[in-house]
Amino acid sequence: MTLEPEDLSPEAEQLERIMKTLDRRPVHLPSRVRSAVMARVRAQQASVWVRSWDWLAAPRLSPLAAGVALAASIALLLLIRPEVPTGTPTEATGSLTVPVRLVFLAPQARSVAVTGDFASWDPTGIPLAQSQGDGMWSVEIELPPGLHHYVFIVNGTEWRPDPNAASRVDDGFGQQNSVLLVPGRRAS
Amino acid sequence: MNGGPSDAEVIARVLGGDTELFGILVDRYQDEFARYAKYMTGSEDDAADVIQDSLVRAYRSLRRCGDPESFKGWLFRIVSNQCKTHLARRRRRRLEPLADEAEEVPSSADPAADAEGADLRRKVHQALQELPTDQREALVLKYVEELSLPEMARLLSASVSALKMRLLRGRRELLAKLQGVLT
Repeated sequence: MTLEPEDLSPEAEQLERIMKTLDRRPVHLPSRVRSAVMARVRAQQASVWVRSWDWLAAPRLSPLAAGVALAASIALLLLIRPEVPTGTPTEATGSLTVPVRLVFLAPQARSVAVTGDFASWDPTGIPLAQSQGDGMWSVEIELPPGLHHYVFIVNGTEWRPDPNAASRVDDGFGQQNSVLLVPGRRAS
Repeated sequence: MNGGPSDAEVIARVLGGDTELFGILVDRYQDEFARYAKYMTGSEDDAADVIQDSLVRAYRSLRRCGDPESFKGWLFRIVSNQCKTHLARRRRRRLEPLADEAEEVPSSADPAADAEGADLRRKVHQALQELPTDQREALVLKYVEELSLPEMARLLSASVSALKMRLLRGRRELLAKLQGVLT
């Protein structure tokens, strides 16, 4: 262990002696942990395939409606194309992201942050701030157009969905992620 | 890491559809963070649950791991967060933390000393469980996992000065809780 100057205080030395009494042997988890993880991973994979197949196989549109939908999709692509050129959006000048304000009411919270796919699900998240001390926390972030999943992190530990989100999805752990649809900027 | 594909290579293969290779990452890291999780949650059973959930969460978010070469640090932050979520849920259920630490250390030729040592270990373990989570985490990483302050700062995304403060407060609180125990 690397010693810091403050490790040399009597208090630190006393604590060092105490902590040495703790068991530092490696902990080997039972093999059931690996089995359970891989079973859940396979189930996750299977559910993705089943959902994909169900989506492909499900009859949804009449030929006429499918034709109209195809025409609408092409028109939409043509409309969007000038706005979303090929390339990496994050390398652009910033015009390919949209400012989004996230708001969360938590009068009792000591801290609120937001994490999601746009933050690589970083558990520390992007901090929100209170402007008036009234429990209304907010942050403005730049997001690329599209669907984003996110949750708020209250007091650094509690993950909570956004009650104002338009929809939610199951996170696979008995809780829910909020869903945010960020529309593209209108061409000026 | 000794031989074998790098984390980044494994992640690329898993994301390419070779799901079973995720088992390599499970084998590589499930025990690596188990001791930390045990000291954070107070028991090996809870640590097993936390590690299991963390690994599954990591799999589900694998595409969002910004830097596959830093998978270990990214996974640690998921484990750390899961420990805190686990503790918050337990507090809500008003369950007391478990303290099964003391009985596991091998015995020596001196049963009286063993019993005394086991008693002290149990009390230290219990006092550690009563500390605020961030202080306990700092003490566990420094004294059990034996990490340096810069290593802790990298893992926890915190500044060295903030960690020094957590350690200082943690030391004082722990010593205060053990006042009657220490001679």
